[in-house]
Parts: sequence; C-alpha cells; structure tokens
Amino acid sequence: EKELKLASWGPTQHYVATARAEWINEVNEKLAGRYKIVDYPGGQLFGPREMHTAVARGSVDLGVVLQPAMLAMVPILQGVYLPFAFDNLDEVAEAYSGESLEILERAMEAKRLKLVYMSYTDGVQMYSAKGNIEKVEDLKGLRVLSQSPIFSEIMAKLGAAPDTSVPQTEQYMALQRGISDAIANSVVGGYFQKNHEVAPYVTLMDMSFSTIPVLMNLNTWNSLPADVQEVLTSIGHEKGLKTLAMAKGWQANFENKLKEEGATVTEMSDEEMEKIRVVAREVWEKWAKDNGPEAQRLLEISLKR
Amino acid sequence: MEPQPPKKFFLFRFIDFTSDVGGVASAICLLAATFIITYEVFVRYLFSAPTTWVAEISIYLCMALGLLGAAYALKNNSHFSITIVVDRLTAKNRRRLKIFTNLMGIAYSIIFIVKGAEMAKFAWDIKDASTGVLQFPLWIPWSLVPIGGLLLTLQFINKLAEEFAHREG
Amino acid sequence: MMTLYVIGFIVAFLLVLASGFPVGFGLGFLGLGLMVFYTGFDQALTMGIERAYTALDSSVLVAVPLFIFTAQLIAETGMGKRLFDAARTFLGRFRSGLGTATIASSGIFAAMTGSSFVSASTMGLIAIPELRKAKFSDTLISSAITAGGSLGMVIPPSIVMIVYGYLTDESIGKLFMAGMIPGVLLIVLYSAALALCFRLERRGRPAPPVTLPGQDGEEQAPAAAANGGAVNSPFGQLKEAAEFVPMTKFKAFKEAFWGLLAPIIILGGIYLGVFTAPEAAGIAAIYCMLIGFFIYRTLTIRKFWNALMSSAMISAMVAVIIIGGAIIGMVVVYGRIPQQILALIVAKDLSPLLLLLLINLFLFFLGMFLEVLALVYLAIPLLYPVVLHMGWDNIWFAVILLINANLALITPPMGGVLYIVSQIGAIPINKVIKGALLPVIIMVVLLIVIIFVPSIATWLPGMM
Ligand code: NA
Ligand code: NA
Repeated sequence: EKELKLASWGPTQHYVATARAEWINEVNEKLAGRYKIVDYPGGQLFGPREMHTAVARGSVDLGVVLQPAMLAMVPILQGVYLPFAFDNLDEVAEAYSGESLEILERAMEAKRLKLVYMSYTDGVQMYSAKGNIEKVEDLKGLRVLSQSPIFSEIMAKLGAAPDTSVPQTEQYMALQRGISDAIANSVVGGYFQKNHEVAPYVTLMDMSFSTIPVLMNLNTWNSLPADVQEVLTSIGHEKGLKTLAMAKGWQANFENKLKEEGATVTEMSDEEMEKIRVVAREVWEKWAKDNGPEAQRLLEISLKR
Repeated sequence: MEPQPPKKFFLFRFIDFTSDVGGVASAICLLAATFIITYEVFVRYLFSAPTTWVAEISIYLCMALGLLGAAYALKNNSHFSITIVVDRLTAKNRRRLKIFTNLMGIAYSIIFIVKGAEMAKFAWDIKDASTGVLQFPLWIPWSLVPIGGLLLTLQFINKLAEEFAHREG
Repeated sequence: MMTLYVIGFIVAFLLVLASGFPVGFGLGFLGLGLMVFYTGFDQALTMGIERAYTALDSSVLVAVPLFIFTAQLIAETGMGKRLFDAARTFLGRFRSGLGTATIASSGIFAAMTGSSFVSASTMGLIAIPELRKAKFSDTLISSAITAGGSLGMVIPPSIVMIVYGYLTDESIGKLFMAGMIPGVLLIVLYSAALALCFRLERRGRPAPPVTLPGQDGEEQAPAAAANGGAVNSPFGQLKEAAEFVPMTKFKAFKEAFWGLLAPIIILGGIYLGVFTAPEAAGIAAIYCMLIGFFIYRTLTIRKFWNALMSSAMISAMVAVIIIGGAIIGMVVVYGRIPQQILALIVAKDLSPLLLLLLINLFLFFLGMFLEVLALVYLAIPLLYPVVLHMGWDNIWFAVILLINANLALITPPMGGVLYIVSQIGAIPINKVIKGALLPVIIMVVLLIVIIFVPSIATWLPGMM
C-alpha cells in the first residue's frame, strides 16, 4: 500500500473540509491495499501561503490550495477570480468546465500542478466596523484590509483605501482597534475567523468567489495508474459538486448565525452594484490585455454569461 | 578575551572578513526594517495611505538578517550551545569532539548551499512569486539561503582549521 | 516498537545537545538525518531546507529582531537603569522588591509584545546586573527572568489564542480575556515566590555588604567560563551599573520619565489603533533612538552601531534556532509521532480526569521538544476533536493549552528562553534550568487549579 500525503489547513468543521474528509475515506476504501491518502491537517506541514509551491516541488503529494494565494504563480487563474465579474457561484463552477477549464489546467500543469478536484466557497462579502455599505459613496476613505492586487485596484478606483500592510494574524486586532475599517471575507469564512465580532456590519456584495482546489504534484500524478487517477478525480468531482450545493445552504445558515451574534446583514442594491461593475470592468479588461490571448479568451467566456 | 592563534593564514583572515561583511549586511537590514515599518505607520495613520510593500519587504529583510548574520555570530562563538558535558572532557577529547562537530556544521551548511541554490533555481524556472500584493519574485529571497550557507560553510572551515592550529600551537 | 522509536529519538536528541554543537545547528542536523528515514536522502534535504525557508518567511517573526534591537537600545541609552532605579525607589527598602519589579516589568512587556524571547532578553539585560547587586543567586536570577519571559503569551495579546480561535471556531476576543486572570495570577504568584525564595536564600548568610563596583565581576567570570566562552557573547554587554544612590520619589520619577513614557506610547498606540503590535516594535526602537540621541544624549554613533551589530547577531542566532526547531518539528509531524502516542492514550477508555491529566503530560512532553507555535499548530487539530468528544468547555481547554505552550518556552531541552537567559546573564545552562523550575512548578500548580476551578479561565470571557 502506497501512501499519498495530503497537506491541509483551516478549520476541520468547514464544509469544504468535511467534504474532503469524505473524499479521503471513499478513495481509501476504493483503493484499499494499493493507495492510501494520509491527511496532515491544520497547517502542520504547509499553510495556504506556501502550499501551491510545496506541491509543485513535490514536497507533499497532495495539497489543499487557496486559489487566490496562487494567483502570483498561475496568473491566468485570476480570470475565474475577477471581482464583481460573476453573479453567483454557479457561474464560477461553469468557468471551471469546458474550454476555460482546459486553459486553466494547462496553465497549472506548466507549473507542475495537477488539478484533482475543485471545491467552492460562498461569495466574498464586506465586513465593516463602520456601518453597512449602502452606496458606492460609503466606500470613500474606507480602510479595507486586502491581500489581492486586483481587488485593491478596484477598491482604490471606488474611493476606498485598500490596506495590504496588516498581516493576517493582526487583522482581528486591527479591526478591533480601528487601524482598519473593513475586511472582505465570505459569510462562512468570516464567521470562522470571527470577523463579525470586530466588524459587525456585513454587506452582501458577492465580490468574488474563492475556490479551494486539491492539487497533486504532476510527477506524482503521472506515476499513478489510469484507473487510480480516475478514482481520485471522479470521487473528487462528486465532492466538489457537493461543496457547490453546501456553499448556498451554509451561507444562509451562517447569515442567521451572524445575526444571532449581533451582526447586521444587508444586501447592496442592484443599482449600486451596477455602478461598481462599470468601474470593475475597466480593471478586468486591463488585466486581460496585460495577460495575453488566453486571458482575453477567458474573459470573453466569462462575460458571455 | 581568548588569545588569538599567533598568525592567521591569509585565507582564514579572508573568511573572517566575509563573515564580517555578512554581519554588517545583516545590521543594515535590521536598520532598514526598523525605518520602513515606522514609515508605514506614519503614512497609514496620518495620510490613510498604507504602502503595498513594507509588510512583505520587512519579512525578506528579516530573513536576510538571520541568514546573512549566522556566520558572523558563529565567528564570534555566539550561537547557543550546551557545554556542560564538553567542559568535563580532557583537552584532547574536547578537540576531537570539536573537530567532529565542526565537520557536522560544514555538512549542514553545505546542504543549505546545494538545496538552497536548487530551490532558488526552481523559483526562477517556474517564475514563482509571492502571495501578497507585491508578487515579489521569490528567487531573490531564496538566493539568501545558499549565500548564508556559503558564509557559514566558510566559517565552519575556519573553526575546523583553528582546532588543528591549536594542536600544533 | 513505538516506545523504542521514541526512546531512540530522545537519546539522539540528547547526544546532539551534549556535543557542544550549537543547539540550532544540532537540531537541524538531527532533523535532516531523521527525515532521511521517512523520505530518502534527496527528498529529506529538499523538505528540510524548504521548511527552514518557510519558518523564517513569517510576518509574525518580524517583530522579534526589532524588539531585540529595542532591548539593546534601552540598555545602551541607560533608560533601563533609570526605570529600574525608579522601581527600586518606589518598592522601598526590600531587596526582594527587585524580583517583583522584574516580574511587573515583564508583565508590561508581555502586554506590549506577546513575545517571550523579547521580554526575557530585555528584562535580562536590564535586571540581571541589578539583581546581582542585590545578591540574588544566579539560580534565583534565572527564576525571575524565565518567569517574566513565560508571561509573554499568557497576557493578551497572544498569538497562541489567535491561532486557537481560528482553528476551533472560538471568539478571539473571549480567548484574549480568558488569558487575563491566569496572567495576573501568575504575576502575583511569581512575585510572592521570588520574595520567599530570596528570604530563604538570605537566611543564615551574613547580611550582604554594600555593593561595590567590580565585586560582582568575580562571580561572573567563572560562570561565564563554564558557559563555554560566553564572555565574548553579544549579550556580554551587561553594564556594570553605576552605584544606586537613594533618591526622593519625585526625583526617581523625573529620572525615569522618558522610560516610563515608552510603554505608555507603545500600549497606547496599540490600543488606540495607531499601529499593530508587530509595528510597535519598530516604533519602540525609533523612540529609544530619539531619546538616546537627543534627550538623554547618552547614545553615541559608536554605541548605536554596537547595539545594531549585536542585535543583528542575536537575531541571527534566534533565526538559526527557529530553523533547527522547524526542521525537528517537521520530523515529529511527518512521523505522526503525536498521533501514535495519542491513539495509545485515547484507546484506553479512561475517566475524563485521567484523560485530561494524560493530555497535559502529553503536551508537557511535546513542549519539551517543540517551540510554541509548532506545538500549537500540532496540538489543536489533534486535541480539538477530543475536546468536542468529551464535551469540554472550549475556552477552558484553550487556557490549558495556552499555559502548556508557555511552559514549552522554559522546559529543556528545547526552551528558547532558557538559552537567552543563559547567554545574557553568562549563567551556566544547568543553573538556568534549575532556576526555571520555580516558574515551571508555579505554572503546573496554576494548571491544576484551572483544571479543578475552570471559572478562573471562563468567568471573564463569560462577562463579555
Ligand atoms: Na502578550
Ligand atoms: Na521546551
């Protein structure tokens, strides 16, 4: 029996983690006696910051990767993470299929990464300490914590003051003490990271949808027999779809939890969202222009929806 | 102060010089980190205009600080070590042990040169960039690993040579 | 088989440490060697070096060299001496009051930084010469500084609690609060224990003569020699502090004013949201520079450069230890050693109390070999399911883990604070370990009390 080492991170109660646990169990049952996936949870081996590189290098066979964290390594992935370009999660899932999936897989394989399956998370919303965001004007001067260049760019164009200077471990304190005003996070992720305790005004904007792929080192992948590859991806695909379904239920569920714990949850009007999209579009187009024909094609496919 | 071995061969004076250069570089990195972090606080608090580079660059400066300064600390015999057992050995056995541990040190730091260079090249080949906003090319901080390893290897060789010089002296 | 493996691991560990090879290099070397058994030669080296890099590639660690630099500047500018003299004046005629002053100042540092290394090195530089003058023994000095250092992550803010909150879905604000009462209790207990031990030590000895400059040097020299040439250590900057002259409380306050302002600026800045806790390290260094150059005028370019060079050197040494610890931690994780030990414990179907006791022993044992964050990242995913399974209070368990994590800092063989105290004070490591026994015992006692009286941990967060 050969071991396939999987490195993961994050809370084990998250639906992406529970679906992954099922995937591991079912794969291990199917491949019993031949292959066995062994999980190293909680960031013991690698965290989201360095996971994609570790998998590419082969330091671990399988890794749970935070898609936005690997944008610098595989820039084309930005195409499925353009802020305000997708109305809902189904559109994102669709972008991970067909021709656009081929483009993405090629780009990842060039970096020695094989996509085993994709997990989906609920949309990124705005947690503010200063009141709900009702209009675009409310963003003026808002110090928003950010880790993403393209998000920062759009926020700056909208008049906000995106701040990338506060490391993750300090973000809770920064919001509590007023160094920062707001942070972008998903409903479920923000609940787990306790964003609502210090930034209780949650505005639903579905800015973007981060995905959490399970990636395998390409060499390891190529060393596996075809039927084993098939088991990994087919069960994975099933679990990926499960996260897609769970994302919606969990978001609703955790919206209620947020409210129970004193947060105010509102939605931004379509009218205001449209104003933001006009600004965002310039940024997408510039991105596509800077990143070559494949990026152009990806944007085209995305915008067709 | 420990008496210096009477005359140091040119090569070993040169090695000490490389360690000193590493030490000075590391001190400059520390000073730079101090100033840029304070700069960040000022521009963020006074002008609501946080930088996109200080958080990340300060990490790399501190990596450089550690990796480039290690040989300088070794030159000054400053690394934490436990000498309760060693102090009870005879001079001859102590020297033998020191020769052995210095060889271990050489092996350890050579791994940093070889593997560090391999990783730096890998980061270069796949154009790996940092996760943050800066998208900093990672072959640069990775290069600090083999450079630090080289400085350390040289200084361990120096320490080994000192042990042999002691026997003759 | 497992037992054999663990014993072999410990023996190899002790051999490397005893060889006199610098601890950081030794741990890394051993870790790479052990890793070869799991992954083969080439892969082991690759992963080891990768781990070394990622261990340093951390925003959390940036504050460490900056606070070390601050500590050096506080010593070079004479600010520390002024602060200490003020504490001495205000604490009156009791010599043992110096122990209390050390613990209280460490508490302030803990509330500023959350870094135990920094707390220990700063307080060490300032307090050790003074404690020596007051005729504290080397062992008792070690007790005072290691105790102070161990407060770093109990008193909020605390990185351990942030990690715990994130991984287990618990309120970080509540977790911070949970550390407050145990932290204050530790300060009180440490101060009382130090005063008591000092009395016991003094009893039956002639009253200490009036301290004369140079007298302490005799005690230091052999100690330093026994420490393997620590005379040349960068910490060997312990100044022979000028004679303490009794003064009025007003004068003491005036002398120490700028020094007293420093923690106020730093804490105030953090709490008013001007800067983050790691950034406070940079502000603190700049503040000390300004005071030293322009107000006290005690800082010369030469002294400044010396402070900078020795800070760089100390930081490099810390980095070497972090790398070594990270590599050995990787082997422990990769070999799934904790899981196997835990499986043995849980399988026995024990009573909750016995299980908790065994978990604490397990954490204590891991803490001997791992550094704080490595321990926390390893322990939470392992133990949180047990907490859920047993229906234990999550905040209560977080505090138990927190205290165990802080114990890890001062338990040999892998206890960073121990080595810092040894180097700074030129005190042989065995004396430091003996001295650290005092805070270790007190923490264990507190741990037992918290196990039986959970409200010490849960009352304050419950009030929120
Ligand atoms: Na603290
Ligand atoms: Na320890």
